[in-house]
Amino acid sequence: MKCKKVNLSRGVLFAWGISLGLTFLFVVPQKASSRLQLAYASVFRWPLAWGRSITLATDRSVRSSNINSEEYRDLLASDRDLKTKVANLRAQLQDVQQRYEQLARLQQTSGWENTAFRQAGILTAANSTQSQPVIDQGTEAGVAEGQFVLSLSNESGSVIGTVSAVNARSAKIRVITDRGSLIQASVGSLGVKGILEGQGNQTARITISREHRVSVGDPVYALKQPGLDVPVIAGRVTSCDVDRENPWFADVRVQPVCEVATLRDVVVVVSAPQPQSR
Amino acid sequence: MHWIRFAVLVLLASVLQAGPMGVLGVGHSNVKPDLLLILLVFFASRCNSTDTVITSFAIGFVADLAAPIHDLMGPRTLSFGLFGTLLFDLQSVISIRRPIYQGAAIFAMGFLTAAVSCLLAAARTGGSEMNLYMHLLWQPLYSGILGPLFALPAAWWMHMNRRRRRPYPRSSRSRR
Repeated sequence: MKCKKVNLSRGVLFAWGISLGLTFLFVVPQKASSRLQLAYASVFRWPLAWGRSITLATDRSVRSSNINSEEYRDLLASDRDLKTKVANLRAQLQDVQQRYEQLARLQQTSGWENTAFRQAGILTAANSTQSQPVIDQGTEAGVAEGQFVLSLSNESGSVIGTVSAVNARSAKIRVITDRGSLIQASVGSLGVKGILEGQGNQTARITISREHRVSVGDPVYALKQPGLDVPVIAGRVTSCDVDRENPWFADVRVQPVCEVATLRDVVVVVSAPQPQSR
Repeated sequence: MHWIRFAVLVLLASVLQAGPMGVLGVGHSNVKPDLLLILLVFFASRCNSTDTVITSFAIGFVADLAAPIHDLMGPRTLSFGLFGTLLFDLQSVISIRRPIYQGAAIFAMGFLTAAVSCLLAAARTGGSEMNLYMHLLWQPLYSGILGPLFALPAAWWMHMNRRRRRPYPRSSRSRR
């Protein structure tokens, strides 16, 4: 039987090639592409392994003649381990430097000069199932119940809550939006005072007289009080409505300045006396 | 065109590229000449129009299998096919028969195919880190320097030592 020769024009072949490439790039799932590449590697595994061994043998040939191949392999392994350790140590050093800089910035803030802080990492972040974050410092580091906890996400810090429970090496933070959190606060100017009360739905509430003008975005400060030597921003006003129970008052809703769920480190104000909390 | 010989040569080149070519690796990034790129220029400069299109896409496909960019299939198929065809067309303007021009062509093709491949891969993956100097400069340069040497055994294997006289096949009308 005679085989019939298929004549295809150059343009058609080119279009087919481009279509094939585009199909592989944008239509075929990456898993399928990886399988194809793995199939190629498994079909040619022997020549590939052979080629790899040749390359390694050539690499090995540059070693000093004073050591044998086993010693050389051990040295290479040690070198790899050491490089890994050095890389980890470098990362730790950078982390410590970063924390130190943040703390130094905080202590340079006016009013904080004589205050002692304890930096702590967050072990379990706040989430839907566990609302109270846990930090890695406890009574051994001077942390006590009721102390204020600040975030360092902005340069001078912002109040995120208070320590609600503590043991030797860890502590729980009651975030300002958690139910049961009560902090003396002021809205806008420091003259408009009230109690910032956590609502448990990612917001806190403060009730103030309606004669004061409050607008959305106004800062809310945790006032100077036992446990906090200077007023510190805690949140911003998200809404301001008439209080349903008492029309003479305004119901001001507040959200924290920083995203508490994404925090990595916090600072506990340890030197000041403990404030009252429910 | 000896297609079986072509298939053997391209597969051999891909296997050599993945393995023993490491012997020729230089520098901290272990830059190696790209054998498939050299073959792309070799076939584009010696085949007829239709064969060049087929060989370019086929070499690109094998390059995607053997040395993929970000584990993607397609970027090198497209770039090799596109620029292999373009190189063939350019030969009506410039000749790349001399080794030094072949080297320059390999460098230029290496740069262009790598740039387009990286762009396509970035378009698919949304952009990620790549050693651009290595892909765009050092590897094409190294391939351009060593390429003309690799072209000699390839020409012997493919029985393509003779000079290509006619870039396009004769039309049916002129044959009559």
